[in-house]
Amino acid sequence: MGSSAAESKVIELYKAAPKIYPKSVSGRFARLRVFTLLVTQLVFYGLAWLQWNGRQAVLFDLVERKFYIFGWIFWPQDVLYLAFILIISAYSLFFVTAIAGRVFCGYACPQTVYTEIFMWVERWFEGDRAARMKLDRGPWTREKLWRKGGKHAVWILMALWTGFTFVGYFTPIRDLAVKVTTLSTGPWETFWILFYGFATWGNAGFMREQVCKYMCPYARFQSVMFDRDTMIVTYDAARGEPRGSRKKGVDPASAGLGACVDCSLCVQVCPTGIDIRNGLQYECIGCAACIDVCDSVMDKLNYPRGLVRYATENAIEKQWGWREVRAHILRPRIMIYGVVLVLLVGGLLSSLVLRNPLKVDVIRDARVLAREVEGQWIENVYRLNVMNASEAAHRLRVSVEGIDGARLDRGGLIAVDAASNASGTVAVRVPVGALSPGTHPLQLIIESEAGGAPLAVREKSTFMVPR
Amino acid sequence: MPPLPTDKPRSARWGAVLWPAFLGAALADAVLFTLIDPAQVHWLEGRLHLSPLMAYTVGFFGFWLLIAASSWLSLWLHESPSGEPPSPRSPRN
Repeated sequence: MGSSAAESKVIELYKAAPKIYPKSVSGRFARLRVFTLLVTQLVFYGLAWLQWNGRQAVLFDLVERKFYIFGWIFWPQDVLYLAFILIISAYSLFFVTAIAGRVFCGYACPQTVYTEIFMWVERWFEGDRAARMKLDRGPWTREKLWRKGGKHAVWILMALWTGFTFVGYFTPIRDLAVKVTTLSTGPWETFWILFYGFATWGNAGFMREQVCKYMCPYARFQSVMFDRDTMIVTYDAARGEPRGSRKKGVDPASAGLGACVDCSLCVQVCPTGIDIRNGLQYECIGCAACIDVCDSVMDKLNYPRGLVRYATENAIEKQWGWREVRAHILRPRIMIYGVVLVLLVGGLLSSLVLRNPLKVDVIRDARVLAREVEGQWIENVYRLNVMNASEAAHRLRVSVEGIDGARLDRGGLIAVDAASNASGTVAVRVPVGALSPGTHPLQLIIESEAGGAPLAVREKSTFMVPR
Repeated sequence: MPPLPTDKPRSARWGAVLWPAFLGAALADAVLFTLIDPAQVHWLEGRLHLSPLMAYTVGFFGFWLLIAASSWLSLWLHESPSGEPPSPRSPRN
């Protein structure tokens, strides 16, 4: 150790994240993204306001612990459906990714969508790539202040609106809107609006591609879903190389050049700051901005489009056309994903259709265990929690089966409103001496009285006879 | 002990800790309050009153903190240099 005493070296533990200034791009895929962006945001911001049967169509009412999705009403007990939906979403993602690569990332992921919207605002205030870089380098002037300030003001408004909409899915949005306009939201509603708004502002305004590069698990396991027949954004190196600049009108073949003019526009438009010409990279979110910009360059040079294009690895390697690419869509991986997906969706739908809208929890009253009454009966008390997921009110009659001589003493009728829950207490009596001490199985039958579609539920419980 | 040099920016480390913990917390909060109705619970034997929204929020951030601490510890253990542990029996020269 002694010999190298004076030597020291500063090791940077972390690389600085360079700020990326994506250049704006227009073209087929940019237009497609504007379209998907409008559709997804129309759904997100709009759906919360839609009414259905006099209530909010989609509402996960956390305080009431009831979840409405149009005509369907769920209680926390239905959490299995949520698990089902999550599994289906995951499989849909696998299925789509195996066929078409990261189209979700490029067109529908909230991270991409909000980043894109925030970049529109940024561009409006600060200009395109070169202007933004100049502005950031320059000193703080009155103009820079108003451009940056204006951008942030609009960003914050949009973020708050997003936070408000988010909370509006968990607490009725119309009431929430009234509370917001009168500044009387509850502390936790206020907190969540601000928290979600802050997350939107931070993610779409600052974190951007870093979320995709360093935080998104999907980006990392995409290679598991990809194969050589998956559609990806690729650079056709065989056609492009050797790259190099040339005068307009020069035949590239005679100059010993490929089609790539090395204009670096594909790098400038990339929101994650990569060079697509280096091949498939996990940072690529499949947004196709490089395709659009390269096509525009090819058009100017009168070269055929598609030097950067959607293609599969096999297609690039073997120079396949669309016909061969299409013929390779149906392959074992896709068929397995497809069959599993169809089974899952079928299972979920049939389970929803066949679902009994009446659900009853029977709870033996712990405080009043079995007791002897009037010297001739053994009485057990049960609490019934009734959940009515149908759109009609019901009067429910309770009866008992499974024990000879058992009869209902009181509480035989429970009224429950449409789409709501009710509870009632029933007492079951059995003659003393009819049963041996211990527990005996019994069934409670809960049926709707005449009128409307008949509903019935049979619930198991036990009857206890003390020693 | 400092982590080993990496080609990633510092924010990547924060992201790797906080984001998976955020997802885990959302899931844990959802499962917990599916099974338990906060309105039915006597917190601290009735000495503490929590509104349902407050219970969900406190639950979420509690889980987030806990899982993030665990994630951070895992990351730290993994990144710490794994040299020979000092042993009292074989003192270094």
